[in-house]
Amino acid sequence: MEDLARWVERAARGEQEAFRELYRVFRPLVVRQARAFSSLEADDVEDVVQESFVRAFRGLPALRNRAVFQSWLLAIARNRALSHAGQKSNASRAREAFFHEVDEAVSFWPQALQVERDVAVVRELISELPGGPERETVELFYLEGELSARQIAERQGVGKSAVTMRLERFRARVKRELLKRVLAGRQE
Amino acid sequence: MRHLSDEALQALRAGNSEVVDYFRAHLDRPCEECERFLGGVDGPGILDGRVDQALLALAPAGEPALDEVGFRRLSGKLAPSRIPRLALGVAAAAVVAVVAGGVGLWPGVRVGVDTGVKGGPQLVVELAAAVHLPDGSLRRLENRATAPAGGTVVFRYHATEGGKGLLFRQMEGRPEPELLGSFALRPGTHDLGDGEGLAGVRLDGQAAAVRFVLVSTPGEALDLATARSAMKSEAARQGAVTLSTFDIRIEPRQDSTPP
Repeated sequence: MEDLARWVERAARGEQEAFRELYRVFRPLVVRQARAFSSLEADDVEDVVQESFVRAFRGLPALRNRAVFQSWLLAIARNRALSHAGQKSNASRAREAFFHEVDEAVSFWPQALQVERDVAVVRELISELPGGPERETVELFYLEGELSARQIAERQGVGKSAVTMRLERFRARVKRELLKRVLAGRQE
Repeated sequence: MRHLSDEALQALRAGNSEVVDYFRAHLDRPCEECERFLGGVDGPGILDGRVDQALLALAPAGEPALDEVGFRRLSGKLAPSRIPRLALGVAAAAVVAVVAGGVGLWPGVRVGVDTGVKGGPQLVVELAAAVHLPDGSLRRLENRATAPAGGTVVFRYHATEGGKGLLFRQMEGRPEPELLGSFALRPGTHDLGDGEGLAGVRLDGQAAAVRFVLVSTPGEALDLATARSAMKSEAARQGAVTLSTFDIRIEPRQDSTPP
């Protein structure tokens, strides 16, 4: 992690070698994130990757808390994936504009993002899912991490949008749980 | 009962303790309405990134290899010397005007069309080029023509079917061709670009001549190693790899100041 922080610092100074290293490390995560959106073709996924890194690297000097680089990059990538998937409603765009300021004010949130604790929370939520298609979808996509939403749809014999909907529904549950914990942390 | 809304998030962000207390308790239990809201909203803050970071950390991950082609594309977009998109847009329009629309009228060149796989899909790609000059004018280029240093070359291609192309630049005196970018090729006649603008390549005058090579195949399977092999040796070409080349001689910049 310490090494990664140094790479992020160097990337913020515009060093090409640091861009290369961060791209190498994080590209697979951005690809997997985009592959949750079943409407995206392979070319779209690659566009999401390119646009996300361009925005992240260009915006990096303005990111005050460099420790949250990964979360920040993934937030950008989700935004790009949603745009390509055509799922950003006007209301969502308006909210995005509203929260732009918050994106800058990262200090609003606890700095120690505690990925390990978050992962434990997610595992617990998965274990609470009843057996069935949603749980199977979540396990295939997130726990095994090999298949795209499209491939899962083919395997399960369902429409591809059904898989994305299941993943998004579970993701919203995780988001609710983490938001609650953020709020609890804020009171401490 | 209150549920999450734009107003509620605004209050949370402002640190309204009553609202924070309420939602800390409310979100302790599953709430379909709040989850639906959170699923459709960006943020707050980088919470979305934190969520995805946790979710994507669940699967085992090996040591990733560098996607060299993707990184070269990315580097091109980050480079400060990248040509302004407005200029490229003008150039694109001008190329359409300058380069004749019929393939037969093009000065484009197709070299070494692969004959490897009989009966398989045969992608034929032809390249045409124009140079965007520092004075803002645009001039069509013939293959092996001379263009001034400081100009920017833009390409159009005609492909008989869809595929993938890797564009290389081979500078005179350099041992290895340099990868400039990876492009999705569509059937028909199109600008060679990556969705954000034309692939404009500046002639920097460091070499007397430059050869551009577009290595292409049907489908998306073309990788960097295959493309490099294909350029080195015809025998090394695999499947339906096509090479399209365009040679330009670079005219040194006329400098009024004495050396």
